[in-house]
Amino acid sequence: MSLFSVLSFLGSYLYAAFCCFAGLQLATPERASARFVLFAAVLSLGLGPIMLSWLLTMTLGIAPGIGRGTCVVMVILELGCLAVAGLCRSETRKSIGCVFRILLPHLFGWRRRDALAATGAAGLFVAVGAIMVVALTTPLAGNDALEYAAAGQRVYHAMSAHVYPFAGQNPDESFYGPWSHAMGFVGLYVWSFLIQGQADTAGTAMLITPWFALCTALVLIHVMGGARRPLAAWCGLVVLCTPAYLFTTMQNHVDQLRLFCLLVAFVALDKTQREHSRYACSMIAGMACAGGIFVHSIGWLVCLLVTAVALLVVRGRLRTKASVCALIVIAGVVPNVGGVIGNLELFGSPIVDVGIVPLYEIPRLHWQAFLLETRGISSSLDRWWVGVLGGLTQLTIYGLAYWLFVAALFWRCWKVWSICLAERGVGRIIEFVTTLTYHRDGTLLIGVVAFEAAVVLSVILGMDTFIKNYRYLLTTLPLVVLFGFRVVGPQFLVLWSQRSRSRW
Amino acid sequence: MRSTFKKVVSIGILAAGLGITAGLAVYYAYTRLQLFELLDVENLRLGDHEKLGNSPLGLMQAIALFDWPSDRPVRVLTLRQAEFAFYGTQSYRVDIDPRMLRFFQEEDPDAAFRILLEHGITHVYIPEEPYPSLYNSALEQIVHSARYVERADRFGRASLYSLRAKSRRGPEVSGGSSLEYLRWMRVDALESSTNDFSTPTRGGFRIRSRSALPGRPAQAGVMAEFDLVAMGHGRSPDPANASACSLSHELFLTLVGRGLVQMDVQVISKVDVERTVTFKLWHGVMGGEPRKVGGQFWNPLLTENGDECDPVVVRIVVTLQSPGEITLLSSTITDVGSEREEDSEVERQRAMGAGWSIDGSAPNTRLAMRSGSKQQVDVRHSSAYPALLRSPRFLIPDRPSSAKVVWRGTGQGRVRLQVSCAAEGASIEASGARWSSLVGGADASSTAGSEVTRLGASADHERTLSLPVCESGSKGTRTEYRISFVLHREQEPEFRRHYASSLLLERLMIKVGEDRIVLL
Repeated sequence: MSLFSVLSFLGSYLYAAFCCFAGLQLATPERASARFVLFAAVLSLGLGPIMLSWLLTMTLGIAPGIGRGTCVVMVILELGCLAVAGLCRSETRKSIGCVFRILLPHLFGWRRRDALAATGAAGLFVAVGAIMVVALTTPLAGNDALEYAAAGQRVYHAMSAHVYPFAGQNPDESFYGPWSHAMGFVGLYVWSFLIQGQADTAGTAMLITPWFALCTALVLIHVMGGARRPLAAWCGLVVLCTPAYLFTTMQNHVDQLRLFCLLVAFVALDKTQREHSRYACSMIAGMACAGGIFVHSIGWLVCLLVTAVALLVVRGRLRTKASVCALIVIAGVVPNVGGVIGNLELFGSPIVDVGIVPLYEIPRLHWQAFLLETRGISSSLDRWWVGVLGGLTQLTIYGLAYWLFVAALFWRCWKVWSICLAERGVGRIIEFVTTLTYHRDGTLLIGVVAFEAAVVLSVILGMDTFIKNYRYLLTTLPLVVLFGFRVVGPQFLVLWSQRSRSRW
Repeated sequence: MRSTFKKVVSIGILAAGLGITAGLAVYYAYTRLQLFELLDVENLRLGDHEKLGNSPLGLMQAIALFDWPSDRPVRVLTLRQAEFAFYGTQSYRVDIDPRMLRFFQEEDPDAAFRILLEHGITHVYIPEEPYPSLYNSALEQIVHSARYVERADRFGRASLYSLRAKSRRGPEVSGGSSLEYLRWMRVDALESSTNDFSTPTRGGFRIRSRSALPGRPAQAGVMAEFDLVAMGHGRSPDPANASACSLSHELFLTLVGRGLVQMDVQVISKVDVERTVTFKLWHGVMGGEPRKVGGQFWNPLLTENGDECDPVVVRIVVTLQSPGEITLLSSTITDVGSEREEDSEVERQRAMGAGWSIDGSAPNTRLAMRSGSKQQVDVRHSSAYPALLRSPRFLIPDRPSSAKVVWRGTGQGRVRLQVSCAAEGASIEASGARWSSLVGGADASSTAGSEVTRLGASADHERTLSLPVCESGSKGTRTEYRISFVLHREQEPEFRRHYASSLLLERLMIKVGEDRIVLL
């Protein structure tokens, strides 16, 4: 991978992020806070490239067979149009100036001699460095990543989005990939191939997943503001270095993209409670859902989850709640309507689990028994222990992240119980539960609990949809870690300042 | 004092946090780089194909190294398509492709083989992992039978089978016998307090493997050994062809139980226990029904003259790789004749038995002495570094200053000759893995200058090599020599994608004055 390719890749992603940010300003109210503007800037780093992939896919769908250079220019111009539209607003120009001045200090600034923050930042630097070294030096070798890359390679050679998915439509095609996933991840591969001019090796495509892992860490750092700032880098570091997240990043899995979208959606939902720009936040949550759906079919379930949580956490009358939910659904679904129609035609359903694979239906092959055995969930006890409680029992896969969540949950419950005891009444508990949705971090908690409830329900119903792959349980990882750091963080900081005085 | 203690504790907490998080990232990066041999800084400059070729992943070698000799258009049936799809150029069909559905529905191997031929399948690729598409279908019988398979190539942990254009007649079966005399024992390395082992019947066993905690890995294993010849197997009924290694054997165990089971047969030389060849006969999930598992094996450990085999002990190893329980109901062994497919592992053993060796043990180098003829040594490799083929050692009676090397070969790439020497019985082996480290060191060596031969069509070559001088260990000790072929990849652009090089050596002779030393 040449230096020019790497710089082109990074340049195009930053350009897409800039255009996405400028476009987002069209939906931002005039009196949006600086914090909201910074949030829009940070999330644009990830949503921008997904938008780039969407525009590329649209271009390859509308103009199949287009020249490669023409295609690149077209996508750049389409993004540019968005940026120009955004820049027409004077507030956008002010926001851009503001972002250029304070984004880096906001994310990476810490008080002098703050050992905790400095160590966290150093750790994050080492972790990102290790991931980048692997991305820049190793060849693409993971099964799933190679299949996505192979799909991208074929789209690149045909310069047409109509060849996707590879479900046996072309009798001369050897590659068989009957996925119901939209082209989000594949589109990013195609973009990498376009800017490096060849698709024989992965090249800059090795940087896609690390880029989104880094964006996830930056969103977490942004969210961990205020008094928790010394722990912000640690929060990002814990997510990046959760074993399953780390090795899927190094193996170029798609999960880093969908987890980024999920995190952005929930942070935006959380902000609807406090920001004046409720509808702008809802729009962002919807766009994040759209991004999630565009990169992986499981995004549909996430969109459903986000909408359900929005119904609970958005303050106001039912009409307000309904309008926010409608906005999320519309923003999430509309960009993916084409994919839905395509999947309905091909699979008969907008989302399918294993696509068109009749081989799995042959009784004498016993595929189901094989899958359950090799994934360690063959007995009902294992389904609960390894599947449902995997976050707590499989430390080599999920690290300590879910234990941090449990500790935070225990702490929060203990505080409520203490208040209840002090005030001698259960009324306070009832009040806490009924207003849970209005508490800070309530959005994250409800999101995690709702997902885990779905996992439990699926296992009770005898389904293994959520537990058959360790990566599916990773879905809530950023929320789990963020909740843990938000709740336990302040207590830790108090102890830390008492023990070490924190200033050396 | 108290303040110092607080600082130490604080530093400890920070260090532990960093160790658990960033340390883990560095560790994973280290293992990932190690997988592709990228800790050697020189390798960072290699291309992706070459990095993959340096790894033990296997499939890349199957794609890049194999030269796909076939008079039919090549099409592979693969159980894993990822590398074929992105890096390969061959036509293929993956098992999940609905076009292959009829094949996997067919239970009869003859009929299933015909379906493969109808689809134009010429090769079958099997990765290391067990797949129901293999162990629960007729594919298992097809790839393990010389009736359908012409050649088996092992690439690291993966196998590639070349299919015949049409199936042969079934082998002559000389009658089977029960293995009830076997004494089964636990495999100590897999033993744990949660495992149970018993021998409820003569020649049988029952093993149970449990996890200490739900979700923890569990493994248990049993093994039994027997002497193939002493037990009346391994001798051809034809007295004129009574070689101990002329027969193939079918070994089947009837098991009942549940769990992920692997059955291996290890053929261990009695002469040199380091010489062991493992046949993986079955690997799959048992679902509670009685099941006959097994396959064919033979003794590939040829002696140096290539006519006989080492006397061997056969060890059957059954491992239960998940929590579960299996019971052996019966076991049988059958001699199934001497016809078998060509096998790269056997060819490697044959070449090594004849004294040939190849530098390094990377999976992307292959050394073979073709069956049926001792006159061909075949080397293929796709490594970024030159491969070094070493001949058997030979003595030159007098000590001349130079010798002529006459060789005939064909292939792809460039080759350079080198001669090394050492006192008789002393090591000629290089201390390092790289060919260049042969120059200098304790042993002396000499090369044919910068002259290289570009390989192509088969042709005779003659080179005069100056013989190096080696110091004898003691008076009267003679000097032994060895010819090495340093095989380079061709650097021309057309080889960028398929970067393997090869040398098929048909003849090798050393002329020293009037003397002729024929090595091949």
